[in-house]
Amino acid sequence: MTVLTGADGDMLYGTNRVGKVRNWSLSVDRDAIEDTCLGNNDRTYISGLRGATGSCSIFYDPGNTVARDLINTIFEDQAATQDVSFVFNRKGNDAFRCNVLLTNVSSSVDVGAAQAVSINFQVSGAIEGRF
Amino acid sequence: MTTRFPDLCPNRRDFAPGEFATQRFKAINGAGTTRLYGSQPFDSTLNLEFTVNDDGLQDILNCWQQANGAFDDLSLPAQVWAGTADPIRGQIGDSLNWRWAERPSVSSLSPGRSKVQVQLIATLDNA
Repeated sequence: MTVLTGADGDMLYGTNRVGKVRNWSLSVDRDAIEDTCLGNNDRTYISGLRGATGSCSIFYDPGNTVARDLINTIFEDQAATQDVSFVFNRKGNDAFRCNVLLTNVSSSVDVGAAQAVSINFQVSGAIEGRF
Repeated sequence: MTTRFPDLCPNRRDFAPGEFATQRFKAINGAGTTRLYGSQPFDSTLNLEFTVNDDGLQDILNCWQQANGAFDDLSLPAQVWAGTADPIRGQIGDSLNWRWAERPSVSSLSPGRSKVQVQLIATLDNA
């Protein structure tokens, strides 16, 4: 088994490949609820709710309809969650699949640089897939 | 009848000792005198906060039901005073009867976990 690189990764919107993805990240958090009893000197915790956020950056290509469809959900007034898969390894089908809401889309245009769009996600519900 | 408060360890405790029955009488020139109408303090307050699972929550709610709310007095387990020395507990007053001051307040944190606020008062009964 070899270490994977970015070349092995991918990102899917539904079942369609989002082309020209520069990077993606997914962060899973869990609340720690304090239940330290009076009389104790060390804090103790129990696990609380889990949540996740993510982000990605995509090179902007007007012909990339999958990416544009995903990005343009930010403009929907009653936007539903979007089915997105964050793929570690295209060959091994290792991926996190989840429903996300786009919380931020930002683009920048610089002289001498490729145009890219940055997207932030809020994951809604459970994440399918494990490390 | 006395209802036993569940044997749970609080995460937070706020205690205020009881008051004494005094009255200040003031003359028109500003001078005054204070009279004492009883030798025993009354109405100590104890606010507790618990992080409990569903079993602990059920125990607290059962205690409220069995005590008929603020009607019956409560016996408090030693766990309630965890972290304090015995002389401090002696300051609370044996003559006082603990009872519910308010309904328990329950905040749900996650499935099976709740934060419960309990407000008790120690009353001077039949003195």
